[in-house]
Amino acid sequence: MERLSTGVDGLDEILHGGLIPQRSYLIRGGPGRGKTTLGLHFLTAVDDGESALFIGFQEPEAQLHSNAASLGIDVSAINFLSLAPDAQFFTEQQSYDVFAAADVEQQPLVEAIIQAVEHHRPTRVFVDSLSQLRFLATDIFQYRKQVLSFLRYLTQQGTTVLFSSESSHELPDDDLQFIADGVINLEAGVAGPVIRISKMRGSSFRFGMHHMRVADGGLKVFPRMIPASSRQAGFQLQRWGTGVKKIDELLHGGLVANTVSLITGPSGTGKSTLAALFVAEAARQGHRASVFLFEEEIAFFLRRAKDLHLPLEEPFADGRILIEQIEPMRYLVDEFIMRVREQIEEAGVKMVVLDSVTGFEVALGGESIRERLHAFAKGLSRMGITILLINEIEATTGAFRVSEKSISYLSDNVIFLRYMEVDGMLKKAIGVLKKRLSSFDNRLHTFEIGSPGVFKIGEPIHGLRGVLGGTPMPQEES
Amino acid sequence: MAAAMILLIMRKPGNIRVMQHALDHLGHSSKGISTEAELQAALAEPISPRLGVVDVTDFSTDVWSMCTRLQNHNIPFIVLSAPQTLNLDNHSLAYGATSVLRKPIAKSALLQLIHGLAA
Repeated sequence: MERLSTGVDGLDEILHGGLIPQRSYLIRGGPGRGKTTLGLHFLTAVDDGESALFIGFQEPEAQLHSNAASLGIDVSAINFLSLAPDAQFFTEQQSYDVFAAADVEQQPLVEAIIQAVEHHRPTRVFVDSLSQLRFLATDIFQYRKQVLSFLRYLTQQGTTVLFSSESSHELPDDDLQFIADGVINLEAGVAGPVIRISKMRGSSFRFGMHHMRVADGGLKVFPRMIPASSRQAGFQLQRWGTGVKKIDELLHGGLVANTVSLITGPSGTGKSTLAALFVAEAARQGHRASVFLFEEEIAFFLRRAKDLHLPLEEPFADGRILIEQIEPMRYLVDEFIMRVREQIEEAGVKMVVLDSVTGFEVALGGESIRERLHAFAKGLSRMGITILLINEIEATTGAFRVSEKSISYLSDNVIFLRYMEVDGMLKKAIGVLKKRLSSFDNRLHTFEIGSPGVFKIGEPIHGLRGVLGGTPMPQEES
Repeated sequence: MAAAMILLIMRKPGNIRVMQHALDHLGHSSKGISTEAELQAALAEPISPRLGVVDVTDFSTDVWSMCTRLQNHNIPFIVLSAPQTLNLDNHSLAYGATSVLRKPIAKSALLQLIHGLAA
C-alpha cells in the first residue's frame, strides 16, 4: 500500500511506513506539545510535483516562519493561508456582538479556503486547528457536518489532510477523533513527552507511547523498541570470551553470542572491569563493541583500564570500541535506545554493555524498568547483539539476591561477584548462577583485581559455607 | 426596491463593520453613527434615512435623546439590546422603537426585518 511520509522518520516507523494518502488525520495535544511542528514537518516532506498548504487559524504567517526557522525547518516550499486575526482587530475594536460569529465569519472563511485550494491544488494540507471551526458552528450537529464536509472536500481533491485540535474538559474533541481516519496523540508522558497512535484506519501501527522531543531540527520521535518474536536468521552459538583463561573456563568457553548477560554484585567488586574484559577481547578479535556509561566518565573508565593494563585505549581510538557517556537526566529512554540502535546499524556493533542498569532506571524517570529493560535487552539480542547488563546490588553482604529490580528473569547468563569476610579480610568471590545455552562451572572462586593479570581467579572455594551471604563459616565435616 | 439609507447608531466599530457589510450585500447604503452630533448631522443631510438600527447597550442615557430625534423625524428604528435587559427593552418601546431584538441576532432574520421596514 502506498504511504506518505509524515516528514518525521521515527513517526513513519511507528506508522509502518507513513500515512495512507488522501485521508485525514487528527493531531491531538495540549499547548506546546508540537502539533504545529509536526504539521510543518508533514508539509515540508513534499516530493517533486507535490504542493503543500498550511491553513492556520491562530498564528500569522510571519510568526510561523519565525518559529519554523528557530527549529531549523525550511518552510519555503509551503503555501500559507493565515486566517488568524491581525492586530487591527484589537486596536480598531473590530470585535462585534450583533451577530453570532458563525453568521459573520463562516462564509468569508469558506471562500478563502476554497480559493487557496483551487489556486495551489495541494496534495498535503495541514489545518491548525480545526477546533476553531467549532466556534463558528451554531450547534454540535452543524459543526460535525461542517468538518466532515470540509475534510471530504479536501480529500476528494486528492489531498492528504492533517489537522490539529485543542481539547479540554469543557470542549472535548471526541467527535473529531471519530471523524478522522487516524489519530496521533502528543502527550506529557511519565518521563517526558510521548507520541501515541490511538487509531489508524486500514493500517497497523506500533502500539504504545514513544518518547519524542522538539529540538533543533524540529520534532524527533524515538519509536519504542518491541522485541521481535523470533531471532534473526543465521543465529550462531558463537562464544564471546574474556581472554582470561580462568574466567572463560568458568563459562565453559565464554558467553554465547546474542544472549543477555547480567553481571551483578555490590559496588566496587569489579563488574565494569569484567565487562571491559569481554569488550577488549571482542575488539581484539576484530569485532565492534559499545559501552554506554551512565555513571562513570569516559576518561576515568579508560584510566582505570590503563592502570590494569587492559587494552582499551587503542581500540577506542581506532573505533573498534565505542564508549559513550550518557547523562540519564538528559536522555529519554527511547532516545537512548534509538542511539544504541543507530550504533548497531551504522557501526556494525556486535556487543553492547549497559553500565549500569541503575543509570538506565534514572533515565526512565519513574517508568517500569522491568518492561523497558526487557524490550531493550531482548530486542537487541534478537537482532543478533550480545548484551552485558551491569547491575549493582545495594547490600554489600547479607542474603544473596541476583538483583533488587526483578530483572534476572530476562538474563540468559548471570555472573555474580560477592564480597566475603574471611579472617578479618574482605575478599571477593565470583560465580556463575545461570547459563541457558551451555554448561558452566558451578563452583565459587575467589578472585582479585590488579595487574598483572587484571582479573586473577583463584582456586575454587572449598570447606566454606555461607559464601553467598558474605560471612562464610567453615564447612562442618559430616 | 430602491436602495435605502440606514443609520447604524452603535458604539462598537466592529458592529458597524459587520452590519454595513451585510447591508451592502442587500444593496442598501448605511452610515455609522456613534454620537448625537453625528446623528444630528446625518438627519440634516438631503437624503433622508429610511430606517435606524440602534444598539442601546453601549450608550449611556444619551441614547434616549437620539431615539427621540429619530421619532421626531418619523424614522422608524429597531433597537438591539443585550440579553437580560428588560428595563432597556421597555424604555426602547417607550421611546418609539418598532421592534426590540436581543443580540446576537440571526443575521438572516435581522436583514429580512430591515429589508421589510426599509421598503
